[in-house]
Amino acid sequence: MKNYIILSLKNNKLSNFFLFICLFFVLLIIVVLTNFKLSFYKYLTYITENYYDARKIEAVNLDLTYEEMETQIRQIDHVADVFFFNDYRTGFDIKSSNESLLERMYVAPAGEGYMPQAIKGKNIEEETDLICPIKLANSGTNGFNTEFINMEDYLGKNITLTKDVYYLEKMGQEPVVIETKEYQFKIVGLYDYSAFGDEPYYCYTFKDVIGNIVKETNPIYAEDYWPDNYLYESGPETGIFPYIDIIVDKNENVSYVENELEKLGFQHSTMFFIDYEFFDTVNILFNIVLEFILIIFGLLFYTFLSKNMKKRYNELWILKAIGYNDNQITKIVLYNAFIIFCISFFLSIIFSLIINYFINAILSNNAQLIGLVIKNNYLAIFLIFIAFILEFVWFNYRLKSKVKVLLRRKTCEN
Amino acid sequence: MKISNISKSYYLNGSEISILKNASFEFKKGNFYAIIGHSGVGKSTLLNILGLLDDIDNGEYLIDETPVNELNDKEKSELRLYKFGFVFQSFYLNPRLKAYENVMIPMFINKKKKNNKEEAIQLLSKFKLENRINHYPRELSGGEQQRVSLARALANDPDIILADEPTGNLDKENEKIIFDELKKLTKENKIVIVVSHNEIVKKYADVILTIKDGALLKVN
Repeated sequence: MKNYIILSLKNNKLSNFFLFICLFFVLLIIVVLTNFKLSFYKYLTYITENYYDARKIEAVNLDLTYEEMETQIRQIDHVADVFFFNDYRTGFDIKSSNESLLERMYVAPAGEGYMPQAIKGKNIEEETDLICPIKLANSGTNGFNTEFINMEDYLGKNITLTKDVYYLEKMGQEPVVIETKEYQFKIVGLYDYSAFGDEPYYCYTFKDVIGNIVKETNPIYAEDYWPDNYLYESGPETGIFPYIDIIVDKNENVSYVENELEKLGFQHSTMFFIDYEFFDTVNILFNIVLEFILIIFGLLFYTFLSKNMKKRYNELWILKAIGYNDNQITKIVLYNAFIIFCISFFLSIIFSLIINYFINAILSNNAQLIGLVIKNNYLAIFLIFIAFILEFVWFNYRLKSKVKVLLRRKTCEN
Repeated sequence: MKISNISKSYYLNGSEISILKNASFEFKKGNFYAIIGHSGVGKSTLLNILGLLDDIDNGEYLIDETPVNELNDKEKSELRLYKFGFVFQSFYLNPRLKAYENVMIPMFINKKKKNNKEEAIQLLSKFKLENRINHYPRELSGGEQQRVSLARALANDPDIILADEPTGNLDKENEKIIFDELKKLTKENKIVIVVSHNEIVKKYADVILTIKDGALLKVN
């Protein structure tokens, strides 16, 4: 019988090719969607593991002074630390960069309760230590065109950071550089950006260290620079951004603090906001879509096999007359389709690897999605294969009775 | 091969149409049987019953003293495979298979056979088709196609050949060739049963049968 199956496969090229193309595309969609969903959830799981730190909230209330904002915020439960964004974060030029990609560096504060963990090298211990992301986003590039600098090339190396001190006489006039200060640091460790809730533009040092540098290098304003009753004007002219950085004690308390901030009239944002409800909804929708595809595919495929059987009426009837039983005839129809299914499945896996490669190439250039890598989940693919095998078992059962009726009808016609 | 008081009816638009009624006959080896009669009398139905492609409503059907009416599909199929060979008016060759591949079809599920291709070629040579083994049915004449069909019917060396209007689509020359070949098979001690409108079949038949009022009657 297998000889007949192979012969009829070779000789029904057009309909087999049509079946192959349809199967291939359906299976490719299923495999790619499954890989994407599972990779994405693996990514989410990864970034919500114990060491994931998404405790930083940026907040502002333009009706309050900085001191009033800080006072109100410190009264909220679960707030571990509060500091003015601009007091503890700044950019530096790098001395003698020799035209390397690393020309500019932004440094942000780390403290006892908010510290990136080194996955290469070591954590910061000395005041001159810096810890940087494994891939530092190059300032000036962003979105899907982010350039990344591989900081492994700089691990363990000393670096001289320079910062100009400006004097501003009048609003709207060009600031004047009155001094350039130099600071010696050493890049002692690299951290995984995707586990630490901030943009990958920042290296970190101790909060007091960077705070002192910011104080020393703050622009100097003429006495009459600011208009009367001037509070805070954000923007590049003043260099002042009135946001406050709030560090929450635990990831799970971030929502609580955000709610409290809203009650107090603050605007706020977090770097990483995981709407679990949204993702659960997406997960359910995805499962529904996948099951829908499997069921519809099953029905369509069965219809195709049925029609194919009717098309091969005469051929199958003569097999019956020759001595093939209903079971063997059903298997001929089914095995033809099954062989084509296996080839399509195998090729869809190969093509999904190619698609993954291109998607990952695009994702790797996006600072927000670093850490998201689309991979084939072979266990899931195997389970999908088993699901289809079960569908074939069902086909076998349904087609057998159909064969019986069909061939009986043909006998009567004859 | 013996049928005893077999009856067969069909239902059409709710009405029962009786085809065979208490038909009885014994078919013996080495004989050429022709079943004649006008259209619709039940000749093909009888052939389908004899070939286990259709069931009887009543009666008994014995092959080599064994009752076959109660066999299941698998058993009937196996009996058809080893005992029967069919030849049809429309040839029913697989258009996508070559001549020798068509002959090989019954051999694929014959557990006792190996070297199928050589045997198929030998059979085709027997019917003077050795130069046509790699041709598709569309490349063969009607007579050649029917000979391929006959070769296929003999693939498993059956004891019984059932032919339903085997010359219905052939010219006179090919009619004679086919009937000559069928007649030769009786010398191999096979039972040959041919349903035909063609008067020429009477010259070849050892026994001529007809169906009248559902019963099988011997004419000669």
